[in-house]
Formats: sequence, structure tokens, C-alpha cells
Amino acid sequence: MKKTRSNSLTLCIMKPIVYSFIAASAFAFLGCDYVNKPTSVTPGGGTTPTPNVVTRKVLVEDYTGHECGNCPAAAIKGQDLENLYHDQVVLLAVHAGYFADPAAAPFTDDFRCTAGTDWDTFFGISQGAGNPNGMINRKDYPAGTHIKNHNNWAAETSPFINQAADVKLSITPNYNTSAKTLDVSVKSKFIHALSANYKLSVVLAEDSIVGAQKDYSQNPSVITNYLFMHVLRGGINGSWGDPVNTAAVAANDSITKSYTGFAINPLYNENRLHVIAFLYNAATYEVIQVEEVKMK
Amino acid sequence: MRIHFTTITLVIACLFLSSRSFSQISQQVNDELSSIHGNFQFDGQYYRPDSAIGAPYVPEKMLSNAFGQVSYTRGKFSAGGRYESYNNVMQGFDKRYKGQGIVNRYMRYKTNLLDITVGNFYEQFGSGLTLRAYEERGLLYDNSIDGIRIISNPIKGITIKGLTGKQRSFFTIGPGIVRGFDGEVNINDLFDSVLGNKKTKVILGGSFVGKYQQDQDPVYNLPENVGVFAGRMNLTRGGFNLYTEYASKNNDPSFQNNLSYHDGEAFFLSTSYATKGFAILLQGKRIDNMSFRSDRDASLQNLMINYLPATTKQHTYLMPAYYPYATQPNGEIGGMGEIQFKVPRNSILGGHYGMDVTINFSVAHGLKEHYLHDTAYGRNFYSAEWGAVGEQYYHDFFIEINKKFTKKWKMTALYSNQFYNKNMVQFGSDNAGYNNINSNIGVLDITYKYKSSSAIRLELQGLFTKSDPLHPTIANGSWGVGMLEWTPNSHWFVAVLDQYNYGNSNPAMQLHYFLGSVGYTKDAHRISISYGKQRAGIFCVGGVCRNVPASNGLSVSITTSF
Repeated sequence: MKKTRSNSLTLCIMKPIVYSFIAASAFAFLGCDYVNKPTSVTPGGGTTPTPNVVTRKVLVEDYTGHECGNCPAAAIKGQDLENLYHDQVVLLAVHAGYFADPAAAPFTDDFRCTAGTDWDTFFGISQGAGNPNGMINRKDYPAGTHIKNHNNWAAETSPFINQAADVKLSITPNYNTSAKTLDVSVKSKFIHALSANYKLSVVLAEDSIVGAQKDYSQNPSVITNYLFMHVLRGGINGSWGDPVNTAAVAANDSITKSYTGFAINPLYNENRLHVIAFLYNAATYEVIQVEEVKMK
Repeated sequence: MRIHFTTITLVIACLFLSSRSFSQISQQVNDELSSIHGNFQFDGQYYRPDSAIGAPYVPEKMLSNAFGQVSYTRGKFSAGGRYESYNNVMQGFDKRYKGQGIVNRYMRYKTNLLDITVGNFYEQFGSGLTLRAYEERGLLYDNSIDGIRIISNPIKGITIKGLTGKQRSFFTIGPGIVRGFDGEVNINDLFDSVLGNKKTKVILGGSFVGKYQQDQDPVYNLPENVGVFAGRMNLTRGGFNLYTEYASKNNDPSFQNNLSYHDGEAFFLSTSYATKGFAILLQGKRIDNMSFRSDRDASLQNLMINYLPATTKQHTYLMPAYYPYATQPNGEIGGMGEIQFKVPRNSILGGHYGMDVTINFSVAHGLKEHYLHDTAYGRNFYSAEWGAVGEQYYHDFFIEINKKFTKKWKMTALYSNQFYNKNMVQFGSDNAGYNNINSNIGVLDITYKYKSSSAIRLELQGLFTKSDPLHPTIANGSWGVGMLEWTPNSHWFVAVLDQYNYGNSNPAMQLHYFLGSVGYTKDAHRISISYGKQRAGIFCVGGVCRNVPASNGLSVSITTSF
């Protein structure tokens, strides 16, 4: 009798222990991955686009500033992406926010522009996630996860590579050397029917500007002859571009937007200027196609 | 017959009465079992641009953060939620808080055997080395887990916890799945009949937390499953307490650690002894590559799974907290010692009421790291040895004295000597170009309580350090602070504050930051209005920095709870 009671008692105690242990420890059957070989491809590898298929290019925006000492590391990541995916990515360095403000020598340059500041404010980058940070095709806005740090750029870019595009952009610049004005037209040819509304932004970027940059990976950290690449110089059609369509578009529809007489700042090196156009969803801000050509 | 009638009447009356009583009791029990609690908070500011202090133009003119939380409990069941609104978020906070919505909702059913929560929950395993989900509203820090949690106390002395979910990230959830298990055994409770009356109490615990995040990187092979294991012990005997925990993490390349595949580990020890009029605390820790987030690419304070305990004092006065220190997750070795004692009453120093004295010293160093540079991929690796100490990041030595002179007069005096390695603590690099900040800080806080609920308080503070001529905005030299606060009764307070950056190397920046406040408190309701200037700062974590601009304008804060 005593033994039976003892068994019952044991069962009474053991049952809840067993059940609760099983219930709670169900979460514990977890593994860990140990990586012995950190890399799977060599730098400079990448993929080749499929011939005769229009693929989606990727806009990689790098929000930076000349007094942001950790920002050159992000610029290197951008360059790595270009080495990996060549012209399938379009880089744009947006100098905006506190670390881009002109300051005491040698940081007297002002690489800011209205479009960059407007984007930085709207997407909450320098006042949100801070610098350095960026966006990949402006994906994941407005959930708060649209801001991507440079270690993540490759992983965020790779799913877009070789993805069939919905639209093809063709940029035709016409630069008047004597008047220093730019006429540019951008043709959006829709490959598939689309129902959302889209906007076209056309911007100017400049390469190979030499100036001062802080770089905390160097000692001394002030680099006076730093080479700034892909610097956003301004919006040709404002900060947010123009609506391309206000109703659904059919496959093979083409819409051309033209801009004339855009004055080029004479301080810019006209041989280093590029025109970048991108088409984005007016509601989600996601960029569905981007193209870049040299201005001259 | 009469008797019979009377009997029936009595029976009916009794039934009626008992029915009424039962209903009343039942209602009363229900009332006791059911409860609704909540709280509300609104903080708003009307901003004015001020070029002198660098306060920018704010297009919205007014920005606000608001929170409303409600919880309902009935017996073993509870449910609740929190609504947040940022229109738009106030200056100084992360701009990714944009818009409004319900960011927290949960249901919970709690018995001793199974305590189940679905929805958002907060949780901590041990000291937090493996997992700590919590909310710190003042920082807009909220890493709650949206998922399922089970807690069980199957028998006395044993607590088991299991959870799985994803963490809150602004108005969405992060990409990584968090799974965790924690077991804790209270030895004395488990063997109650043998050890229940022993003075020495021992609690043992262990936890495992794993995360899963897909690897889409075209170059790196990133581990998709990363786990942290930890074991802990808590031993108490009378006034003596010893807590220690060790955690180990497998390879977790992330933005925070510059894609290092080095394993991580953390050791934390805290011991204290307290007796009447005397207490001593000793803490130490060693952290190596222990940033653990549910998104390997997250930065600043976003999506942290674990918490690395601070072993430096978190000051509440403005100037001692001017250069705050936070645990460096990539590598730190440090500790703190503190003695508190009471100078007895009726002694020369103690006077009529005695005197409380706190002496504290805390220090934090980096690890002694041996670097290996990966030139092909631009990554830096390191190895670190146990016991080898690297460069100093921070120290704080302070003495605080609390003394009551008479029924009406009391005083707090504090002296602190601090060292702050700005390059490493804020920017994560020796090459950031700032000078180390050595400062001496004094605080004198005098209260004159002229009636039982009426007082005047004067606070004088000074921070004495050199200004960096190259960075007058960030390393801005000495400050003087004065505050006068009047509490005419238990409901109202009026205060004026001036922060004066008199030691700035740039004469144009030797500015006063005046702030006037008035507030009213009644029961659980509090309203305060402030007008004035707040200084700028830079908020950095792990090499990512955000400028917190100066501001000038009218602030309103309302809090209430029920």
C-alpha cells in the first residue's frame, strides 16, 4: 500500500515535470552552425547577365559624410559590389546630415544637395540609423527596415541580380558645352503590364572628386586627398521626380520624360558627371529600375 | 400550521438571502479577480530654430511621442497591449519610429504548472548574458519578443522557461528567429526537508538561446544558426551574496564585430556583503565578442537579444552623467568596487542624524588583442588572451555624502574623477582623433524643507576639463550648472536650470542653456511644462553615430496611470 502511494506520488510529481519539461525545452533543440570557410567566392567574381533579357539593376545608396570616420568602409563595400556585379549596380553616395556639414579646414567642402538632404530626412537615415548606412532599391520602406548597413548590402543586392525587369530605362543626355546646360530625356519602356503608379527621378552624380575625409581605419585619420566617387550633385527634376503614370500601363507602353536647360554648376567637372535615372513605386518608394550614363 | 408557514418563510427568506449573498459574494470575487490597469504618456515639444546653439529648423514645428498601455487580468488570464504614436518622433530619437500603431499585444494564462504567453513578452535569463528583452521608454528601447513563451514550475524549486519568436524592430519585426530555453534550480527549495532551513541558499541556472537568420550573402558563408550557452550560480548566506555567470557564443559574424568569425564569451561576477550601517559590493566582468542580435546587420540599439551588465555606476546628476559609459560588446574587461557606510549618530562627523557615505571606483579596459588583417576582404580579426588587459576606456572614482543637518536641512555632496576614452567608446577606433577626457566633477545638492510637503532645493554642479580646440562641439570643456527647485506643496513644483559651457575653447560657444519647468502632480497624474534650451550631443554605438541636435522650445509631458 505504501509502495503504491509512493508510486502514485512519484507519478504525480513526474508527470508535470515531464510535460512541462517537454513543453518548455521544445525550444532548446536548436543547433549552431560552425563555419570553417568564411567565403564562397573570390572578390571580383560575380555573375553575367543573361543575354537579350532586360534585368533589374540595383540602386545602392550610400549615406555618408566627410567627417564620418567609419564611412570609407562603406564606400569600399560599395566598390566591392561594383566589382562583383559591374553595371548591374548603380552606386550613389549621398552626403547628408551632421557629418556632411562643412566644417573647419580641411573639411570645408560642401557635397550636400537639396535632394540628398530631403531623402536623408524623409528616410530617417542620419537622424535614424546614423552614418554610415544605405538603402538597396529603397526596399522595405516604411517598415523601418529600409536602412541597410554596408555589411548587408551584398546580401540585399544579390536577390535582385538577374531578376527580370518590369521596365527598361533609356537615358539620352545632350550637354551644351558652351552654355553649360543639360537636356535629357528618359524613356521608360514597360516590359510587363503594371498597375501601380510610378515616379521617375533623374539626378546628377560626379566621380573622382579629391577632398578631405575622415577615415578611422587610417592613422592619421584625416585623409586630405581622398577620392570621392558617385557623389550625388542634385536632382534634375527635383528631389522626388515626376509621375510617369497615373493609371495602369500595358506591356510595351513607352513613356518619355524630357528635361531641358538644366544648368550645370561650372565648378563641377563635366567630364566626370553622370546622369542617373530611376523609376520607383510612388506608394512604397521601392525602385524598380535604375540606369546610369555619362553626361558627356 | 403557523409553525410550518414560519418555517417555509424562513427557508424562503434564507434561500433569498443566501442567493443574494452568493450573488454579492460572487460579484465581489469577480471584482477582485478582474482588474484593468493602464498608463498613458505624452511627450511633445514645439521647436524653435536657434543658430547660436545649433538647433535646426524643424519643418513640423512640433514633434511628439505618445504611449498608451492597458492590461486586463481575470484570475489566471491576462491580456493587454500598447499603442504608440510618433508624429513625428522627437529630436534625438531614431527617426525610424515614424507613424503610429499597436506595437505590443499579448495574452497570458498562468498556472503553476504552465504559464503560457502568446504575443509580445519581455523576459530575462540570468543576468541577461544570453537573453534580456525589455523596454526602456526614455531611450525608445524595446526589444520585446513577439512569439510564444512557456514558464513552468513543475515542482517547488524548479523553474523552466522556453520561448520562440521574433523581436520588435520599430513598427515591424526583425528577420531573425529567437529560440531560448532556461532552467533554474533553487537547491534549498528542491530539497526543502533537508536544506530548507539552512542559512546558505544556492540557486543554479543554465540557459541556451539560439537565433536563425537566412544567409543571402553572395560572398560570405554566414552561419544561419548561432547559439549562446550560459551557466550561473547564486549563493547567499545572511548578508553575503555571490552571483556569477559564464556565457559562450559560437561564430557570429555581424556588422557589430566587423564580420569576425571569432567565438564569443562573457564572464560576470558580482559579490556583496551588507550589514547594519555597512555594505560592500565587488563586481567584475570580461566580455569578448558578445554582441548578439537577431539581425546580424542591425546596429545602434536595434534587435539586441542579450544584455551585457554594466559594471560602472549610472549617475543621475547631469554632470557626472555627461560622459556616460556603456559596456563595449566587442571586448571589455572591467569591474567596480563600492563601499557604503553610515557614520554613527551623535559622532563628530555624524552629528544628530548620522551621515551616509558611498565610495565607488569603477574601471573598464579593452582586451589585449592581437590583430590579423584580412587584406582580401577588408576584415580585421583578433585573438585575445584571458587576463591580458588592453587600453583604458573609462574610469570613475566618486565619493558621495548624504547628510541631514536638522529636520529642515539636508545635503548631498559628490565628487567624481572620470576618464573617458572618446575615440574607443564612441567611435570604436583609436584613430578618431579626439583627446581622452579627464574630468573632475563636483555636485552640491541642498534641500530646505520648510514645511512637511514644501521645500526649496538648490543644485550646483561643475564639470572641469579641457576643451578640444579642434572639436569644440563635441569635446566642449568645462561646464557649470545651477538649478533651483521650489516645491510649494505636494502637487506643484517650479524649477529653473542653467547649464553654462564656460570652458568651451570657442568663445562663440560659451553659451548658457536655460530651462524653466513647472509641474503638477495629483495621484497618478503628472503634467509638466518646460521652456528652454537643450544641448547637442552625439550618440554612437559600435562605430555608427547619430547626431542629437540641440533644441530650443516648449516641451509638454503628461503621464497618468490607472
